Order: sequence, then structure tokens, then C-alpha cells
Amino acid sequence: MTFIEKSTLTMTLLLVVVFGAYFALVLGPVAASPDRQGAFTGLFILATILLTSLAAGSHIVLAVICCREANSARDERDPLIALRSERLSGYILAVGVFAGIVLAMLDAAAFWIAQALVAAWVLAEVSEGISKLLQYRRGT
Amino acid sequence: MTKPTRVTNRIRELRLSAGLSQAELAQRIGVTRQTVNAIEGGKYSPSLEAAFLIARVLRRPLDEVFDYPE
Repeated sequence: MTFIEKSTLTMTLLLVVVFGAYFALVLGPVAASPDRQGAFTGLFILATILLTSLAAGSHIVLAVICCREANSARDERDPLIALRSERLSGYILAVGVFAGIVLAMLDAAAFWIAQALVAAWVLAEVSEGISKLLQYRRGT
Repeated sequence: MTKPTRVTNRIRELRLSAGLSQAELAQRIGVTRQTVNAIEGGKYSPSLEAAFLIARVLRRPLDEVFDYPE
């Protein structure tokens, strides 16, 4: 497994764990609470800080463990695989943004519009990671 | 999503006869060992530059290393 594969796997797992917990809380107790707007904002900021810190920490550990691979130049397959995966994530993000616009047209609460957008972003990122990992495993 | 490449190659055979490992060949052409493995297995068509570098490292003309069947 190359360094970029390990990095992608780590980021995808972190996203699933951190935002899995975020959505478990937001769609459960937070959605039912009277001050859901304030509660979700705090939770979103906390999830973002947690994800950033865990990503930085895990990449430091990865770079120490796989020092030689981490310092190697980018491979010629990397941009091609990234391009294909970003195209897929772009479609998912566009669908999510469209869903947010539809919710706004239907006068949905800002809370639900925000959750639709966050979900679209997380799904787009996770799909991008999975797509990259599958392409690296397949060889192309 | 993508079709397997029609470009065939003799990299594995020529590499072994030159006494090179996948990692050594990869290092000399500036790609990862996984990419050399994908090229050898016909799963990935290398860039023109990488193809020329492979042929140069293996000391063979390009069309002796790669083939594109009719």
C-alpha cells in the first residue's frame, strides 16, 4: 500500500467515525431539542476541530512510520485517480446542494438545510476516498 | 469504469533477466512499486515518458518492451 493509499484510508475512516457520531447525535437528541440550532452549530464546530486534529495527528504518525514512502515523489497514477474520484464526488456534492436548494424552496428550517449540505459534503468525501482506494487496488 | 489496456508488455520477463526487482525499476523511473506492478499486469498504460524510461532502464527499444496488437 502506498503512502497516499494509507492517507486516503485514514481520512476516509476518520470522516466516517467523526461524522457518523455527529449525525447520530444531530439526527437524534439534537433534532429533538428546543435549541437545536445552537446545539448543532457547536457540535459541527467540535466535529470539524476533532477531524482536523485527528487528521493532522494520524498523518504525523503515518509519516513517521512510513518515512521513506512519505518523502517519495507523487506517482503518475495519482492525478488520474484523483481526477476520476473528484468527478464522482463532485456529482454527489451537486445532488446534495440541489437537495438543499429544494429544501429552501419548500421553506424547510435552516437546521435541515444545513444537515442536507453537511451530509452531501461527507458523502462526497467518503465516496471520493472509497473510489480512490478501489482504483489503487484495481491497479488503474 | 475503465477498460483494461490493450497494450501488452514484456517488462516482467526483461526486468527479471536484468536482475531488477519491481521496487528497483520503480525507483529508477520515478513511480511507485505498485504502479510498476499495475503496468506489468496490463492494468495500467504508462505515460509515454514512463514507457521510454522503462525501455531505457531495460536497455531495449520501446517496441520490444511494449506491443499494441492489431
